[in-house]
This record gives sequence, C-alpha cells and structure tokens, in this order.
Amino acid sequence: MEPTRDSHATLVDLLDRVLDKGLVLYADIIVSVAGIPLIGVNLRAALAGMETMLKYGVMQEWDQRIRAWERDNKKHRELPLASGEQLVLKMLGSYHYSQGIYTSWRQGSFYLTDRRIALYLPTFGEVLFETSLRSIKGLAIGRGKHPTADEREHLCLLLDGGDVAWLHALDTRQLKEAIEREMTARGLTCEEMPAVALPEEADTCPQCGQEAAVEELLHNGCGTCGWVSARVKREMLRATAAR
Amino acid sequence: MEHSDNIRVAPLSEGEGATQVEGRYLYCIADSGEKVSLGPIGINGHEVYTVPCKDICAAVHDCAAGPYQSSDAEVVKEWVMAHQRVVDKAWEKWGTVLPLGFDTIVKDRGDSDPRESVETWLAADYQSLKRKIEAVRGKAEYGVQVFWETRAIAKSITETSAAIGRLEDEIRSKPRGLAYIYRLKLENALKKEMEAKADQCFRDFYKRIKKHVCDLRSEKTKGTGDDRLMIMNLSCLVDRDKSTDLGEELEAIDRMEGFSVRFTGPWPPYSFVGA
Repeated sequence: MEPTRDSHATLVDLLDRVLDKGLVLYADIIVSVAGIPLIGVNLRAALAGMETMLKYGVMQEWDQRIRAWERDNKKHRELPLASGEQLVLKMLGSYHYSQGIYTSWRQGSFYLTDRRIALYLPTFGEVLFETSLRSIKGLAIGRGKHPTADEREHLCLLLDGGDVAWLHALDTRQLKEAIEREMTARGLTCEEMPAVALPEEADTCPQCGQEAAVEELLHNGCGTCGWVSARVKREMLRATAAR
Repeated sequence: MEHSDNIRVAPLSEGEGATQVEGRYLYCIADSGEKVSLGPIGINGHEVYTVPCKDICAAVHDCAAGPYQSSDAEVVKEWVMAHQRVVDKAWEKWGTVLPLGFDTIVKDRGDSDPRESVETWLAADYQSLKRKIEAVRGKAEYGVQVFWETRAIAKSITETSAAIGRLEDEIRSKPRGLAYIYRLKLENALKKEMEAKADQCFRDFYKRIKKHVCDLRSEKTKGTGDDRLMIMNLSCLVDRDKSTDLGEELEAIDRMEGFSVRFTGPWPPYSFVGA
C-alpha cells in the first residue's frame, strides 16, 4: 500500500498537522493571541460546521420520519369540518365552563367557520364548545375577573333559548368582529346588547344553607338569615372603637 | 473571533500592503547553517529567507507583529498550503526539518538588528533544537487511519456470537410486545460486542503497526459522514526506507473483510517535534 499526499484528498490531514501541531516556542517571544492560533480556531469552526451539517442531514431524515408518523397517527390535529364548510378564523382562546358549582376556563383553539364557532382541543380531538352562527342572538364585550389576570375582556354570546356563553380569545374583539361579519354575510341578524356579567362564584350560607354569592357573604353577610362573616364582625368592632 | 479582546496587535489585513515590519513569521528549523533566500514562495508571496545560527537555521519571512487571520476558509486554506510549501521546500533542500505550526510569529525586541530576536532564540534553544533534529533525521511522518464498515462488522458479529444468536432465537418465539423489549436487549448486546471487537482490533493493529515505526501517536478518531467508523487514527514516525514495510502491513489490514485503511504522507514530522 502506497501512502498518498494528494493535496485535495489529504487537506484535512494537512490542516490537522499544520494547525494543531509543530514545534512549540516559548510564549514570551512569540506574538501571542492568548496562546491560540486564531486562524486555526476559525478554520476548525468552518470544518466543524460541515460535520454538523452532515449530522443535521441525518436529523432531518429522522425529523421527517417522526412527522410522517404524527401525520398518520394523529389524524385529528384540526377540527374536522363538514363538506363545504369554510374555515374563516382560527385563534387560541378559552370559554367559561360551568357545571354545578364547578367553573373553569377551558382552553383550546377557536374555529370560526361559515356555519359555527367551536372551541377545539387538538390534543384529545375534543370539541369543548360549539354553537351554530344561526343560534347566536346577540354579542357583547364585557369585563370580568379571571384567575390568572386581574380583569380582562370577554365575549358574551346570547344564544337561542336564553343561554349565555362567555368566551375569551387571544384577540377577543377581533373574534367578535369576525363572528359579526360572518353572520352579516349569511344574512343573520345579531344585536349589540349590554354585557351580561359573568356568574359570580356561588357558595352557601354556613348558618341557613341558602345559596349566595361568595363576595356577598364575605362583605355583607347572609341576606336571608342575618348571618355575618368574621370579617364583617371585625369591621363593625373597629368602627365602634373609632367612635 | 476577529473582535477578540485578546488581540494586542492590530491584525494584518489580507492584502497587507506597506505594513511596518516588526516580526518574523517562522516556517521551520532546518538542518543547515546556510544563509540563503528561498524566493517569494511564502504566505501572500513573501520572500522567504533563512536566519542561521551555527549549523541550523530558521526559514522566515518579514511581517507585522500580528497573527494572520481571516474568516474566509478559502483564504486560510491558501495560507496553510503556502506554509506547507515552504516547509516542504526546506525539507527537500536540507533533508531534516522541525516544522512549526501555522501563525507562529516571533516579535522584534527593538534591537538594532531586527533578525536578532530569532537568532537569540536559536542560540538559546540550540541544544534542544539539535536534539529534536537528531530524533527525526532520516524519518518522515505518516498518517494511518483504520475504518470499519459498521454494517459488515455488525453482520459478522451477529453471525458468530453465541449470545446474540440465542437472543435472536428467543425473539422469534415471543409475542410482538415482548419482541420489542428483546430487540432493545439485542441492540445492547450487539453494541457491547462491537465495542469489545473495536478494542481488540485496535490492540491487534497497534501491535502490528508498531513493529514498523520508530514512534507513534494515537490521535482522536473522527466522524466519516458515512457508514464507516474510524477505529484508529495514528501519526507514525517512520524511517524513510522502511515505509514500504509499513505499507505492506497496512495492505494486509486493508484486505480484511469490512476494514479499510487510509495511508497518508510522507509529512514533515509535525507530530513529533512538540514539547
């Protein structure tokens, strides 16, 4: 076997030697750049870049395989639309869910189509909230308390049959305008109405068991049996002492 | 990199021009006391000449006291090739050289004769330089890299290893869910066996190569970007008239199923003149 020194095929071998090796001088007489031949570092970086790209190429193939798998196995990434149904707007958001005494803001993606507005949770392929545009009777922007924000705007929908839905979106006003535009385009009428306040959290009076709003119980006491909270007692005592 | 605070002296531009001369770029130390010019063969076409001290000399060119640097890989390649050209020329002319790494620049100390700093260094280090010259006299450096084809080696291991054969049989008898776990087991077993095999090959080849060289260094192995794996990367110092023996030994390794060898050189003894 004959050794080769062909300048193209052995460039890397040459660089390995010329950049990293050779006779070493005492540092005090040579021009020093913190002991590092900058040039070597630069070129090393360029060569390392090539290797990284090769690796990246491998990763890319892997990435494509994973994506293909995702595509085949998770078919419900998007809200399934009826045939002919047109998607108008998609926006992250949440709606106020209430079931008995349990209430929460459930999050997902709003899909506004030419027929309905739906809140979809892609991870589980679950429709959290849905109403046809036809059953919307009125819209309003209201303000209300939220667990993670002091106060924020929400969209209040008055639905057929007197139900009210409270929605919040990344851009609540844009969502409202889009719904209105879509309804108008379909010849549906909707009225601007006064905002309906979010239902307050309800609790029961510890004395008579009557249902009442938490805030009301805390600040004023029970209107049915006359029970007062510890806070109200403290405030009354303080007021008496001041007098 | 170019904005590093460590740069004490303004770097040379690629074009240079009429920069003030305040340093010597060193290419190599040669086994000759001759004071000659090698012509305009240096980096950026600089005139290369020798600075002698007794019976040795340094091949240098005049430059500013700042390192050569560029973010353009092509420019750097040109410089590195020029560096190598000068070292080769000196090697050819005087038989024995101690090559320096790229960008080694000795700065002037403000003496009356600007070459004095190089001379002073040669005189001060004369004994150790002479020793190094003697150590590489009549020898050259060769690069030896041994690769194996991962697929071929894995195949031969699975065919010959009893433990892996047993695992493979078990997989066939297991339901699909369990087979997956067994597959992982199999992969681990194969990985272990391949590591052991690489280790064994390294020791075997090392022994075989060592017989034909004066000195050798084991370098870091590198990625190849294909199915091959570099299992050894050696720099060998070899008597010039014995390189054919090494070549024959490597030929034998290269002929082994699943193995290949890269044999480069002769290089000036870059790997055998360091500290």
